[in-house]
Amino acid sequence: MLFLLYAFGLKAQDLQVKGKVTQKSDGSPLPGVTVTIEGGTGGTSTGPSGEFSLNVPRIGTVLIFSQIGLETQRYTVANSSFVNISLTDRPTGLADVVVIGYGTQVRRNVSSAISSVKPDQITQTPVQRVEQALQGRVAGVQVTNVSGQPGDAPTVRIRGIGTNGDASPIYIVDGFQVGGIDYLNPSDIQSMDVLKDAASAAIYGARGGNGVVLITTKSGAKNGRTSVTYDGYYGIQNAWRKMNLLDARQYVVMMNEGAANAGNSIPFPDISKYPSGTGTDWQKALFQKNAPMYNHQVAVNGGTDKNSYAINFSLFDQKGLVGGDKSDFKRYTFRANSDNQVKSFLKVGANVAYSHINRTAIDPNQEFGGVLNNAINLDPLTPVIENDPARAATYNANAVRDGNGNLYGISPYVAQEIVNPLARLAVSNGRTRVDKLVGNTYAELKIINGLVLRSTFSIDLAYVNGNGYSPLFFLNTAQQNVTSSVSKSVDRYYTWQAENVLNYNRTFSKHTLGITLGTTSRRENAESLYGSNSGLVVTDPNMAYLNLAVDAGTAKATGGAGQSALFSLFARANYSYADKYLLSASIRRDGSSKFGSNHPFGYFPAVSAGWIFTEESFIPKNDILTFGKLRASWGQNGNDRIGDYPWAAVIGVGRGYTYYNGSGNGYTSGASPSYIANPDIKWEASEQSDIGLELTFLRNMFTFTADYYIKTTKGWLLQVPIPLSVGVPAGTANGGSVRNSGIELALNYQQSFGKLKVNAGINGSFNKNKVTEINNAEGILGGAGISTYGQVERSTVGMPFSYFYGYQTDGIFQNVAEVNAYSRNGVKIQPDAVPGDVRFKDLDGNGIIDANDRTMIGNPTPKITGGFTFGLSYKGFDLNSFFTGAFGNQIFNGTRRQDLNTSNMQTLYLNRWSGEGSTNQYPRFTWNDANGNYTRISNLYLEDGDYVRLKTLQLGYTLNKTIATKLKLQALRLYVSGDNLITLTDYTGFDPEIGARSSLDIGIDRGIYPQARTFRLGLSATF
Amino acid sequence: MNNISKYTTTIILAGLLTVAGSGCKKFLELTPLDNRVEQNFYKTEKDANEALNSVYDALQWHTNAGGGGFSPDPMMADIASDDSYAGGGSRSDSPEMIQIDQQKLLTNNSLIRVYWANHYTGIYRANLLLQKLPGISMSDAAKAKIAAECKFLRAFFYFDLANWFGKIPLILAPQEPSEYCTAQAAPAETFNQIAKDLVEAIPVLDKADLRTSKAHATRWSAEGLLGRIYLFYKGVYKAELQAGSVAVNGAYVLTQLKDLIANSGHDLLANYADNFTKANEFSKESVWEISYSNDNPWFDWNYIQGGEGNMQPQMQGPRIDGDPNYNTGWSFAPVTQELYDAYEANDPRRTATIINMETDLKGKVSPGYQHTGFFSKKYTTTNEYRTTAGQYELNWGNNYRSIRYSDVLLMAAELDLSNGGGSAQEYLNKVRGRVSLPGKTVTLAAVYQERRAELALEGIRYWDLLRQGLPAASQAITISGKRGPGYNGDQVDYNVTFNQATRGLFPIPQSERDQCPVLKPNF
Repeated sequence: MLFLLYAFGLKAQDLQVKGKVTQKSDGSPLPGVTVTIEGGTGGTSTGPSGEFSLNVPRIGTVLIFSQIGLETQRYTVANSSFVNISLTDRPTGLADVVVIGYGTQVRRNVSSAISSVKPDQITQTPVQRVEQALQGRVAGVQVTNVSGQPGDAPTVRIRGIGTNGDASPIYIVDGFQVGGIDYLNPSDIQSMDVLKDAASAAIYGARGGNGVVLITTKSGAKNGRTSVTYDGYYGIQNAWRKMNLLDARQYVVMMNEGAANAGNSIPFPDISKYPSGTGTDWQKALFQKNAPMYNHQVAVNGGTDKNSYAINFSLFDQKGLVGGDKSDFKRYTFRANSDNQVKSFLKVGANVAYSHINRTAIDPNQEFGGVLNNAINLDPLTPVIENDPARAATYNANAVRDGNGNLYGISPYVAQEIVNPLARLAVSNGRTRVDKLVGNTYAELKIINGLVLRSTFSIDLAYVNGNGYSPLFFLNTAQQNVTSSVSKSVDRYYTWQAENVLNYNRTFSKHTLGITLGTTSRRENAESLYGSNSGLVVTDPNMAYLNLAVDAGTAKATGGAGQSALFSLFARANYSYADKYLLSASIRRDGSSKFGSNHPFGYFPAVSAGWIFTEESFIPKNDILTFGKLRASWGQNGNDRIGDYPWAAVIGVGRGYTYYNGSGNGYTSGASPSYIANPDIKWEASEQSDIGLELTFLRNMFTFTADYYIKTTKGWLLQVPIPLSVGVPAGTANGGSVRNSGIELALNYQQSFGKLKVNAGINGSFNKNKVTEINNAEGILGGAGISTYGQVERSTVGMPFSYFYGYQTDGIFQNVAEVNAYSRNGVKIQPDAVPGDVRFKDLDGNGIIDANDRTMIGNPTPKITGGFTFGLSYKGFDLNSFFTGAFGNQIFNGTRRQDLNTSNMQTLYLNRWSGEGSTNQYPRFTWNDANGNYTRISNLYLEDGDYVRLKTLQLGYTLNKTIATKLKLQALRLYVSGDNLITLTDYTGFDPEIGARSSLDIGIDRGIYPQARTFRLGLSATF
Repeated sequence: MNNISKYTTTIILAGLLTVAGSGCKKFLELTPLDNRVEQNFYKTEKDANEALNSVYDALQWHTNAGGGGFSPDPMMADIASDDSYAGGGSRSDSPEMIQIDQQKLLTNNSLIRVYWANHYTGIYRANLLLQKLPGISMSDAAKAKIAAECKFLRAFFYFDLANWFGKIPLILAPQEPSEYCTAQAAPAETFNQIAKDLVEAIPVLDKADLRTSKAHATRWSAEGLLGRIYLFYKGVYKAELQAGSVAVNGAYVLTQLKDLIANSGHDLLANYADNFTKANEFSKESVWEISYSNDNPWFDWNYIQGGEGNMQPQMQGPRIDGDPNYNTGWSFAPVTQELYDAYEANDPRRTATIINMETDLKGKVSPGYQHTGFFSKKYTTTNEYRTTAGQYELNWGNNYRSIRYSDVLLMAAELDLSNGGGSAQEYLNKVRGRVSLPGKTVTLAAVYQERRAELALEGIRYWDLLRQGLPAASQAITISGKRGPGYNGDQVDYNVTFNQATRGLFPIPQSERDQCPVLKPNF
């Protein structure tokens, strides 16, 4: 009672609070700090010595101290005594630990170009593959989804395309290079660090040429608390876009026109039978509605400073937007990490991860029989289901039926590979299962203070089980299977690695020294087994086993094996003086079984230096520029992904002949060299220089990083063409080089306004790519082609890697006079042209349009890629958005099968030339393309590939701690999230994100599997 | 530090140094596990036979396809002749085949590049085995036999190249890098080498029929091939051949053919049409035959030549659905009205040679480009060859009857006419008699006419025309304004003009000339 009165009394007379605000890092007084009363009015700000005084209504009042660049702090008034408040600098990341090869370093002292991705960024988008977490997050790393199919690996390029071979970076998980990263649950990741320049990657020597991604998995907590966390989400996926294709009326009108222009009779004399707006919408029939995806995971984390552990189980399943169960990625992962301080000088631990992947897939970007390509090209007149009994009666006995026994429609108009996509899906039965175990154990021995020896033994064991089943089917006369068949394959991959690393770290007065010495022995083994047989006696795909395939004499079995070994020595020294001058140098010597006998070992040196100029006395301490570092690096790397035995003249087998033996089965195998031996073969070498600038200013409100680099890759592995008359291909040889140069910029912003916290970040990469040498007589490296029209991409010296190559168009001939006028010395340059046809540029001026008139017509590689994040949080709510984009590239729209007259087309073809003056862009439509309007690869096929995409928009709510505690929870967060909600692009195909099918097949759309627009509801609860 | 740590350190460091030291080189020396390499192959008789199989393998590419193109030799030759058009699904199905039909060949035509490459691959394999044979441990007789087969096959490959390209590099041993880009040999040099290989092979090869030889080349195969080569060379180049010290003239070749006729046991089958049935593969009429099967069921569209299938039936089968006898093909090489009209009345060989859509087909035909209503019946997609395993299109087992006994009789008749042997009439009448046609006075013209009817759509007509001289070839091949009842496209699509300037040859592939400037245009 007395207490109450007392409190009451205080309210009446107000309570004065006095105090001082200082900066936590150095204790200096902070003037100008805003002090406000939560939920009330009034406030003040600190004076020159950081002191303040303020009247508050009562005990329990909350004061808020805030200033730009500093973390906002709350203080609950308890009594009237003097208050000392110290505000911390906003985190700059400078104190973060960065994983470098074979060690760690604080970011502040790193003198090479390394970028990091934080765990919350990794799990923010629903990534089923780790690579996708890098998309748009890191300047200099270009990630492009190759397709929207669950489980498909995206294209990852660090600082441009460096090779005609595999240009992907290597992935090192807990110190161990793994073959394939799809086994890893993204939530297991503690940190992901990208080594971009040669100096940081050179410690990986012959393997680091395309960049290195270092991944560290989560280890146990050391605070004595055990927590159990459940994370899960459920989402639905839908196509974000459909292509605009002709309806039945538009189709018959175009076909009639095409036939008439070719002098053929009109195929659809009565177009009134095909009203506008009718016809089969194959895309609608093909795309799943609300295809589900979900993720569940349970993590147990605990331990003390002596023994700690992290155990994680997850289940992820994503059904495809196309094909549902036929395009499904399902992954179970189990991980147990443990660290144990056995003695004061000895630490041991183990990381073990098991994954099971069960995957079905369709070919996501395929012009010969891809289901998406089928959906684009099949005419709208054919019904999904054949409902006409008279026509159904004429169908082949093996015509495909849906689950209800209805016959899928077969087109009488479009032939060859263009068939009913649903029927094709129904007979596609590929399935891959992967069982993978990645584990390592380590022992870390403190020999003397500062000297630590770490020995690690790691294994990567994977069994990949492939399953194929082809039932009897009849899709059309060209696409039929008259014998059912089943195939099984088992591939075993086993890699072991033993590594010993000696680290010495010592600080003497202002000198800090770190020395690393180490060795790696690594051995990779692979073995495969394949069997197939015909005549499956059942039709249930789940019973498609070899034992049920009974045709005599058709069983087939093959198998092989491969191996490689790597032995390396490496050394590195890091030195810093007064935390101001940074120096690092490393060298690695790699010996590899893959290299030819003339070059068994490679040496990879690197050096880098940094200068933290804000530590200099001539720059006074200030609040504008808080930190500044200038760094420069140089180094050499290699790329050893050159196959297991490129130096050997392998004897190819199976080159047999069917001799007569009276009873059939006279096949006898034969053998001859597959190619010519090359003992000179070695790794591809890349050399890179980098200059970087890191700044933080306005009391860390902004952080800024800029890098300029030049990277030259030499000695690509090419199969150098030799005359065909030699009769055997040349072996692989080193030849060809490319230069990538570019600028990377990243700017991050963070600020609090009371309880409102704001963060934003933008990063961009500008890369220029130029081929500087191709070591063959023609100086040309051929690239991908399309359909039956031949090469679309190629590389030549002085040009960007794999550019689009073809004819340059120059409008449309509007009338006969223009056709006649386009002549040289009185001879028509395009004698086959008629009004409405394309005018091609005669670039060599020889009076005819021939192969020599082809030139660069576009570039599939973006000039600029980038990302933008923006986030807000207020009380328990948080809102995060993430945009990515790419600019300056073209996409080859090869979605229509131009070689098939009657294939359907996009509505933009309705803009075709239809008379003088109608258009100068699109040629007339004709079945007899004598002028080569479309049979010639030209810029007509190209569209701008620029896009900006709202990759993720997420709204979350974290339960108030007190309420959570009442619910016996440590934390609870709920969120809704939308992915790929907005895409701004002029591209007219399914999706502007079209990665590389291979290094030499980039940005060609043959009917790509689009990204899904996804809505997710998620929950994270810690017990 | 206590003992444990010292002990551990010692072990780890010792292990480290061990691996770093002597063990390292061995650790890195790995050789292929599932492949042999050139250094440990070519040792035993088994190796030699395997290597020989690889030479026969390349033989299948004569009428197979792959490596980036679809180029069966007999089909290309028939398309180039007046017996077939290019065809295909549409004008854009294979513009390169249309180039062959229209005699307007571009140097970058991939069909001819693949053809060039395939044949030089066979030559390389034969050359390599001939080079390695002396070092292989096996009996001299077995070595001689394998060498003779290699020479026969090399002669076959070179003849294919020389008749299409004229002047070609003549390579007789595997090349070192310094030897790449060999200048072209004169046709006389190439043809003399072909004759030499055959003359050397003839006495060594088995005197057996193809069933007995299990499809390996026989003495009779070599004698028949020599006849074909001599007649072509004599006709086109107007000269005799010299095989080393042996003068290969008309009399010499006639002697060889008469040896074949008298001693081989080969004879005509009673029923002409039976020649192209599965039951009559390697029949007594077949003097030389290339074997195909679906014994090694094939699926790989990207490496078609790895399989055992013959692509020619698939390429020229009718585009048909729902026929009881034929399966769908790609309707290349539709047969001309000229060939249909070339038969004498009552010649049963017309219906044995040509599928007439109106009378022979019951299913629904989708007319392709240059549709004439006629398709080849000799190499087509008949049910008996329909695959039971592997990719439907890639596993046609139709053997290619390269040299039939009737061809040998007609070659002998032709040589006999100019060498006065007196048997020409008998040979001609024997061929006509088999198809119940009355005897006919033997003349060169009569023999040529008989060859057209007897050997139509077997890839022979074009060479027969060329050896009659360019004017004769031009007159026959140039077609203008002729239209058969089954034709359904624009007239212009059916017009063909023989290009005398190129002398009926393929140009040297552009890629090869880019690589080797020493190669000169061959016309």
